[in-house]
Amino acid sequence: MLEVKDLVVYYGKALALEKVSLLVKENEFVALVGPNGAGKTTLLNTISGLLTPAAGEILWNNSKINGIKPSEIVRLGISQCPEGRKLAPEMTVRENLEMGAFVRKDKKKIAEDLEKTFQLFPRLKERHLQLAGTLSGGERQMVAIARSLMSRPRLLMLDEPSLGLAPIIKEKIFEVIREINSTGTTVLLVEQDTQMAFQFADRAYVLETGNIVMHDKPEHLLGQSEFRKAYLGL
Amino acid sequence: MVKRNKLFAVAMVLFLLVGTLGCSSQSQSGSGDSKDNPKQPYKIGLLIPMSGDAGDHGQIMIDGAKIAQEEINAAGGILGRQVELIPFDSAANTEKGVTGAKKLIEQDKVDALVGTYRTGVALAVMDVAADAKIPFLISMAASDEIRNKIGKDNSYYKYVFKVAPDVADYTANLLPFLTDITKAKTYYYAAENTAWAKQLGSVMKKQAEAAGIKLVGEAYVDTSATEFTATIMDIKKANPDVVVCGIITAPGVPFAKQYYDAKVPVPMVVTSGVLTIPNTIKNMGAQSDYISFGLFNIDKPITDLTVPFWEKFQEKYGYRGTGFNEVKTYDSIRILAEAINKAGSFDKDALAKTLETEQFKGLAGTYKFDETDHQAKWGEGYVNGVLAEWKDGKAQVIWPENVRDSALIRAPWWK
Amino acid sequence: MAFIQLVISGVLQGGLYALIALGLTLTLGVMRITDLSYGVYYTLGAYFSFFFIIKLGFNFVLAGILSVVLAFLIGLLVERLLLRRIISDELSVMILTFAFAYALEEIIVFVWGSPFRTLPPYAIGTLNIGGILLEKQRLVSFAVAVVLIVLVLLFLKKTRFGKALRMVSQQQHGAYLVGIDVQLIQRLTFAVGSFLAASAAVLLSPIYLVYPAMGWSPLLKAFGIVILGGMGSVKGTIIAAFALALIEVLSSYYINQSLSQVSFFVVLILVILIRPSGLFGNREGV
Repeated sequence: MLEVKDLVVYYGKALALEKVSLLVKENEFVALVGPNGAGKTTLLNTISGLLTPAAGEILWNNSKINGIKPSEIVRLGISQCPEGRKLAPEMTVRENLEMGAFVRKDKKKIAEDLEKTFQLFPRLKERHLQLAGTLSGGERQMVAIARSLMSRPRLLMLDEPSLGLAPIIKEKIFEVIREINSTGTTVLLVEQDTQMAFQFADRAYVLETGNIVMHDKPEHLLGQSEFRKAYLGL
Repeated sequence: MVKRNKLFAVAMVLFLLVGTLGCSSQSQSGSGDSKDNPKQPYKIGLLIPMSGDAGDHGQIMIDGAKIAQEEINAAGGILGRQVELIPFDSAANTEKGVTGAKKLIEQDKVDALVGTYRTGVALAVMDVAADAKIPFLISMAASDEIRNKIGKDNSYYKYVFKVAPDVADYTANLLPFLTDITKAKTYYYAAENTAWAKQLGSVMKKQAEAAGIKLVGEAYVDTSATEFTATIMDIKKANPDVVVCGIITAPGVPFAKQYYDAKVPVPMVVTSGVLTIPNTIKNMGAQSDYISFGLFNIDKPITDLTVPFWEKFQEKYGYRGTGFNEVKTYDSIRILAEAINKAGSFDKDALAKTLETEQFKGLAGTYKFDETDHQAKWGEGYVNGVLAEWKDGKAQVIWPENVRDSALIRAPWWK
Repeated sequence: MAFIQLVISGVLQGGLYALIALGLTLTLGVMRITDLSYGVYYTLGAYFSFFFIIKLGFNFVLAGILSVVLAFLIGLLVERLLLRRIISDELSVMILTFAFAYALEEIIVFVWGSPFRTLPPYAIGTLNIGGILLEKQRLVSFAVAVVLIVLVLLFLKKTRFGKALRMVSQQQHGAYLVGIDVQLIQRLTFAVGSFLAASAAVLLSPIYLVYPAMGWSPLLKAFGIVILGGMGSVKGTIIAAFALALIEVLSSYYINQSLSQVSFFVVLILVILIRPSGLFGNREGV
């Protein structure tokens, strides 16, 4: 479905991704782990069209999509739930969710999806007229995920969805992500909490200083001692 | 980085372009030495604002100057030499004025300088002219600082003469409105918060008090003000016999409109500036009615030159003069030519002597310069002003009586 | 009585200040640029309506509409041809917009000449309500300004484009990710800003004076208002605009007429000292 081949990206003058290749198959749940500053966010932003790669290519269902505008990427069915939520603080919860469906024109179906979203996150329904800036961290994360679903993506890329959240809420968020995946949306998850991510992922990539250093099934990675030492502190 | 530098360069080029656009269009002549050779033209450098906040005034000065040039040349020139005008855009800015004076003197080799609209520019250019021993006739800048400076060292400023009216002349021009026309006992001074308007205010107060007229209130509004409810309410409260208006730039128009709409029952007289310009009045409709104003000149037989000049001006340029900028520029050039012709030589000391002792006819009356401070004298028998009133978009002369169109036309709501 | 008259005059003036500042605050929020050429669209609006009314004899409604539409189109062009390439470089934007404002002033002098112009009022006379004087022209201009402001607010609140504009203003990164064409929104916002500046000029030119440098003073006031209101906050901008007008008129009557501008900037400095982000700048965005 999504194939990244030998991607080279500069962030300003600094080399952020050296030669990254990655594959996400239909309906898969893929985790991307690695230390801070490894280039995980850069990779997602490049796929989303916010950054232009210096070399390499991004293929979406076998056609090249690098160099395409971010709005077109969303239209193709790739949605990103960014790190730090990136909500509009002075807009209501409902408005933020509606913005998620910006690329869609089918008003009726958008309204239906909004209802579905509220079923998924009942808490947001209660607060749909509240300004996003006044929500708690967990609620904001829910809005962010819900918003990224409103474009009806085929691939959902989540960047650190559990960052800064209390354990209970964290678990809830992951439950939701699993549910999203199980209803047919492919997931590419960037996560610091490797243990948590590996509970759900079909496959995982390890990115270190701009390079994919390992990729395998989670259970295989967990079997390697150097991986355990580096990422689980065991 | 490269891209950024390029853009920076583009921006700087644009800047320079803007700067040069202001002045490039004006230099009309090549260089060349003009000694006292009769074949060489007599070059007069005109330092006038063509851009900046006084940029409005430059063109009319040139238009006035050109008529003087044509007349002098048609009458045989200055001792046989044709007059050539070299304008420079001083942008009413001291720095540009000095640069311009230097450029005109050193590069264009002008024989004399005429101009400057602002006092600050005049004060700086005076020194440049005095150093180079170039005659400089100050045509418009008014402050008494100029004549004081000349008076203190008139051997150094031997060749600098002030054709422009003095501050005291601006207010003396308005005084008959209070003393003769309205027989006012009190007045209110509404003006801009500028050094010039304040200076006018204090001179006005002295002259009015000497005539037994009391100042009952004053307001100095910001030059960017557009709303004058407070001023008008204060005027109503002070209840003067006359309002003297010293708002001479942009806020003059909204002030006059609001003053009219509020039907303030007090006649208003305006010193020079935006409300005395026909172009401004043209589309104001009834809101310009009943505004009286002082003028330094108008198309009335003030001297035998006056009416023909105004007619020629209208015919040649298709618009009406304002009575100041074009008149003073014309008069300055004419005085210069007449003085050299009278002196009978291009000798600068002979010119200075003639300017100090003789009288010269201009559009605004007879010019007689003070021997010490070189200020053209004001009053009956010398240079004198006119008072007019706007009615239906036309300036009706209301003073002096020998040339007036009518008596003061009273607004129905005046007390 | 004096106080009521002053407050009413201040409110009438405030509506027009709000209209002028609204465009600037939208541009600032959405584009994150310091646009020093904003006053140019005000000047152009005034000259266009002068041209259509006086030179071509159009009625003022048609002239006004044509003027603001032209300003809108010029805004689109300027954004595309001048700003787009340098939008991320704050210094270049400031230099370029400043140079552009001056260049355009020269062009106006070239096309229309430098003399002062005036326009006749399209509502003549004064209402006297129990001793309170209301100039009809100012009333009409105020009413139209309020209608325009309300339309802009509704547009921001209700329309797809308006919401996208707010999103770009509040959260640009997020706007990209939901698929908003941020550059398009920026271009249109810039044009809307030009439109608003020009419409303020259309409403004010029958009251004020038309001349090439007329745009600088409203630019300065608009910046003061936007800073006081909290950069990019629409609500803050509108409140600050009325505050400015009231401060001007009240301080000039009760304190000193020459202090009307000074008083506002004193208030501005005090507010900035106490709340560096302005009155409503606690959260970012429109």
